[in-house]
Amino acid sequence: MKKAFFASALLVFMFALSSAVMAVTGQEVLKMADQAFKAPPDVTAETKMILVDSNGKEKVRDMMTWIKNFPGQDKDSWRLMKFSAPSDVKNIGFLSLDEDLMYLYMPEFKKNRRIASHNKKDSFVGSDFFYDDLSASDYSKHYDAEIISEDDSSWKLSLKLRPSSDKPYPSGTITVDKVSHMFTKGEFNDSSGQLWKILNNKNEKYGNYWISVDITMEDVKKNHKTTLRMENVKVDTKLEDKMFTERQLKRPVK
Amino acid sequence: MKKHFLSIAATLILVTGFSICAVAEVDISMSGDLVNTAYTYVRKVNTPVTHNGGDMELAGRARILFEGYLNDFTSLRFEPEVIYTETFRTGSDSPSRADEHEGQIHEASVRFEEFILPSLDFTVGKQRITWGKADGMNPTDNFNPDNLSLMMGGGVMTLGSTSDLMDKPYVWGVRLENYFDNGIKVDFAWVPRVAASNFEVDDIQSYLPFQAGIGVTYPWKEDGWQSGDTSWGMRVSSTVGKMDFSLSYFRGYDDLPAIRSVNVDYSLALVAGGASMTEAMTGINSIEISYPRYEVIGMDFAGEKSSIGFWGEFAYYIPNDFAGAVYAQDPSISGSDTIIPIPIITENYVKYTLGMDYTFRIGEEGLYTNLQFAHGMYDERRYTPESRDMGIAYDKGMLSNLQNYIIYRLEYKFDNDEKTLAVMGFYEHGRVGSRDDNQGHMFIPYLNWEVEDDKDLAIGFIGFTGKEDRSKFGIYRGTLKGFINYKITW
Repeated sequence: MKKAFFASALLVFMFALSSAVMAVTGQEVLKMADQAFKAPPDVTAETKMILVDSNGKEKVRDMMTWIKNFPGQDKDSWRLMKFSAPSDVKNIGFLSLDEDLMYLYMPEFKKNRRIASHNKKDSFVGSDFFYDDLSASDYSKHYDAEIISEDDSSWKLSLKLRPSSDKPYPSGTITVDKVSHMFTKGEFNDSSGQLWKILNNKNEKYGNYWISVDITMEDVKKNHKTTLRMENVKVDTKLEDKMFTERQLKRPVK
Repeated sequence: MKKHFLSIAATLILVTGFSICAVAEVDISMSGDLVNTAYTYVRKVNTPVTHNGGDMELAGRARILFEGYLNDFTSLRFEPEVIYTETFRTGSDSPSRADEHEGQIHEASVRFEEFILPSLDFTVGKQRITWGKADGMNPTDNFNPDNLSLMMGGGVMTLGSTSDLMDKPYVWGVRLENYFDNGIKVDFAWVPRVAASNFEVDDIQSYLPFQAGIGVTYPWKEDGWQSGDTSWGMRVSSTVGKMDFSLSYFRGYDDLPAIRSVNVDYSLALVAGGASMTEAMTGINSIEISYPRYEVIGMDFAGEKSSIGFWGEFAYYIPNDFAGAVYAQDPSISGSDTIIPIPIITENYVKYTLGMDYTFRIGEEGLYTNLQFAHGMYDERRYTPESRDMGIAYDKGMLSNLQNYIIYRLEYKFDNDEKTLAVMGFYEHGRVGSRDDNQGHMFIPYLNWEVEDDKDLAIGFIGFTGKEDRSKFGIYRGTLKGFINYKITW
């Protein structure tokens, strides 16, 4: 009897200990999500940007997207985007090398223009994404996260912007998938705490990596949404650093 | 003759290009745009040309762009354009209408990427060679001539940035851009035949400080430049830390003419009696105008601090063999030779631009603010005090001595960026302490509406204030022109 009691107590203790060890914090989940997002060394995709206004009217823009990540490093991803259609935006390019090192190529002026980070809260070519949303900076660097709910498939985190950070959204919630560790949904608030934008991600596995192939950002206040839909996705093609240069930014799309 | 030659050359390039494309089964895409700007004078103005309220001007441009890759490394761009202007003097007692049409090649270039070396890009043909990091006011950007009609509140408007008011026509040339692995870029450009600003000779003469009827010779007017009159330059750029830097060297010609020599009569007796040269001047006999050749040593940078974007651009101008001179002779002394050559342009001078931009948040929207301070506009040079004192060179106004400008642009985008409420302008400020003497202001408030992805409509007006006859913009004082601008892209 005594032995059985001790065995049970030991089991309970071990279980409690393992739970304590296994339990993750919101910040750790957020970091896992950042790492999962940046896990593929590089991504190339044909991307459709679909803008839908409050009347359901659609505008479609085509572009090529190249992303280079630095897994395991405390370094922002590099991104290059070049528009190919329609003709009024053709060859416009955007290069992001760091949060405060971004360039815009305007074909009309044949010139790469350095854009300062005050622009990061501006809409990216009329879409519901800010420049900042596309700069792919780690959330865990800027937000304090806490788990507010959890089920078998996902964690839901509350996000609170750190005072030292200058991101567009002061607070929000984000849902992280337990299998892929990728974001599946985000809800972002304005400075008064009102819901401002809703992010929905559809993730697919390519080889060993998960990729957000369909990202929709909805501006609730404007009743306007933008979807970035990736097609012909290629992962880990050993993109060279020279792909992410002002030289490439100026080049016309093929 | 020149236009015929260019037309034939362009046709040959086009036919050859398309033949190659057809044989190689290359996809060449075709796109284009049509821009029209209609101006209406709101009230009567007298300077520099009299317009009545209701007079209208129409400026339009149509372009067709053919572009594509011939292979993985070679791309082609060919873009002819038609430009037209029409003036309706409907507000006058005797209504009249005048129009001008011109067809030309806006761009015709072939770009070879990884040319000979993997790091080298080579572009040949009619192109835009952009230098400098300032926003549209680039004193180091000297290969392409200036289109001053926009800055004077006319011509086709493509609103959107300060650069739009500083549109520069393309030039035939060669450009080599080498990108080293360490991030340094070396740029070389050569323009075999320099091009002049679109400022007409007669316009230039009307801005010079001389009365009509004086003999003016233009050695360049009939023949243009000689074949040896080329421009070339080199530029080295890099990013150090997070700051972009460039150093540049340019050797070529100014695209606006300057006074090369002035022959004046003056009275030696008056000078001997203590009168100044100006007081002793009894008349101007003749003027010769030409394009100064110069070297420009440039430096520019761009970066950001605390989310504020900033940039600067400095250009040190060294006129070569072109100081210009006033040759003063005393007609009362028989057989007198030229006795006093007075230089008109200083040996060297600096033009520069300093700028910053920032977006102020207004709720979820932003107010984009772009401010630049510029010392020296495109048409300005530093003239000697003597030539200014003698009235040979203007101290202010067009083709004048270096002046100071504040160039500003405020933009508020709303309705998913489909509408932009903006105001941009130039505030001219002469030498410090002389504000009342030569200040002038051109301002353009407008509303732009992106009706659809490929259709833009803008409405606004252009206004001028300042000291009449005493500043570049003040000469248009009182002018108020409304405009409607639409752009269709396809």
